[in-house]
Amino acid sequence: MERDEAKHILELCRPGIDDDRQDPLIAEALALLEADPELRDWFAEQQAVDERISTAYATLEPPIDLKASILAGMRAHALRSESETTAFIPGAHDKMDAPTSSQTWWRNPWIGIAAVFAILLTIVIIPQQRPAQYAQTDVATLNAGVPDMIQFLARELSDIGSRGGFDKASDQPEALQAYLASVGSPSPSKLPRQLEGNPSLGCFTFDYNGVPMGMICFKNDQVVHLITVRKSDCPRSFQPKVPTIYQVENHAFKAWTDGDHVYILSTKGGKEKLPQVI
Amino acid sequence: MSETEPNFDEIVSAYYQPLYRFGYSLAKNEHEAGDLAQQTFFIYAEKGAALRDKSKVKSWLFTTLYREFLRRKRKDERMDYYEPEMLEVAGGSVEPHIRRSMDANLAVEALEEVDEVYRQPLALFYLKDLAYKEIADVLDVPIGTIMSRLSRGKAQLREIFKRKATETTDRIHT
Repeated sequence: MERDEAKHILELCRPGIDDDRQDPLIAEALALLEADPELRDWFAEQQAVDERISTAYATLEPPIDLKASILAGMRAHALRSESETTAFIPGAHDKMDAPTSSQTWWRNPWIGIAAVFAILLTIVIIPQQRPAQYAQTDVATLNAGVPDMIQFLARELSDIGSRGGFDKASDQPEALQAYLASVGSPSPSKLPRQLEGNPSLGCFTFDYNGVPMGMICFKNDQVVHLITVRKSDCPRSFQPKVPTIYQVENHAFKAWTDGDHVYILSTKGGKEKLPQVI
Repeated sequence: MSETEPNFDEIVSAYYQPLYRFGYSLAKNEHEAGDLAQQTFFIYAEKGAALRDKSKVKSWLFTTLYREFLRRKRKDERMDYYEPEMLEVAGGSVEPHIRRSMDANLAVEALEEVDEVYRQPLALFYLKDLAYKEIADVLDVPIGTIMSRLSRGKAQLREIFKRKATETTDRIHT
């Protein structure tokens, strides 16, 4: 294990946490400390800062009544669950309340009738769904020639809402370029002419199998994403010398190489929606 | 009384503080943090019995709080970041982050300034309750991604922390 790799791993080791030290990966890195004084000094400094931050963070106290409030609420939940459960036990009451959804299904003839209808519907509907299944297979076939990196981006873009917001939001593209560079993500050295002057929305960073990617989102009459990847991180098969267009479901992509970077432009919809940036 | 009642007490005592701190790091709001912690335990009261492996309670609670936060955030924002018309409506999303009050302690203030993508794993890291593999599970990202986010996040946090510590010292001496 090289020193730099060991540093990355040692950053996972928190002061005073035995479980961290017993982790095989961390233990292997810790073993290097004895023979490497420089690494040892670096680690001691890291631990001191981590300890200081952890200690300070632990001073953040919840409201004094929070625990009591949680316990009271949990007891109320538990009691409600108990009463709902006992209501279903035969003999628990002289007269049972109205049937509930949890009552044994075979005691309710309507559920049985509904089940028969469900089975019949399934038998009728399944053959009609086959074309849709073929259609999915067709999509998979169409995607077969699309580079994995593009397919990864399509998935990330489809799920972008779950990220909970931009890594950094700004309407100034330059601020986002600077931010991406500051966090070690690829950042466009210059913006495509067609995007210059357009306000940005924010940026995201992605990690594709260890390959960092930086994405700036622009707003014009549509949202356009400019993704930047270091050329040296891309496989030779994905360093397009001429602009190449890909379509993955409802995401269109245009990729090209310029200098040390591979740029990918993406928007929602068909390829005709991609701006003519180069 | 429920047989599970003593467990509630133990579980709440063990985790309500770290859950509150994690909630605070996400929501940056005391009221919301308390509410998130509370809601997490209520969900546990309803569904916790289905959790067969009790050693996973801790991870389950943190994961539940995180998902609850994301669910609320999506609901509040009522926007799809991908739709231009929605982005127009949500013009506030491009505004800089709102800073919290001055009396917050140094570490919390510094953590608030860290970019969100790093703040979540860092908060869990400094809480010291979860191993890095569990942090990856809670945030539902690969271990390699957690390692790189922690590394970058720590670098960013240290810079902010040092700057704030210097500023505080300067204020004291002037």
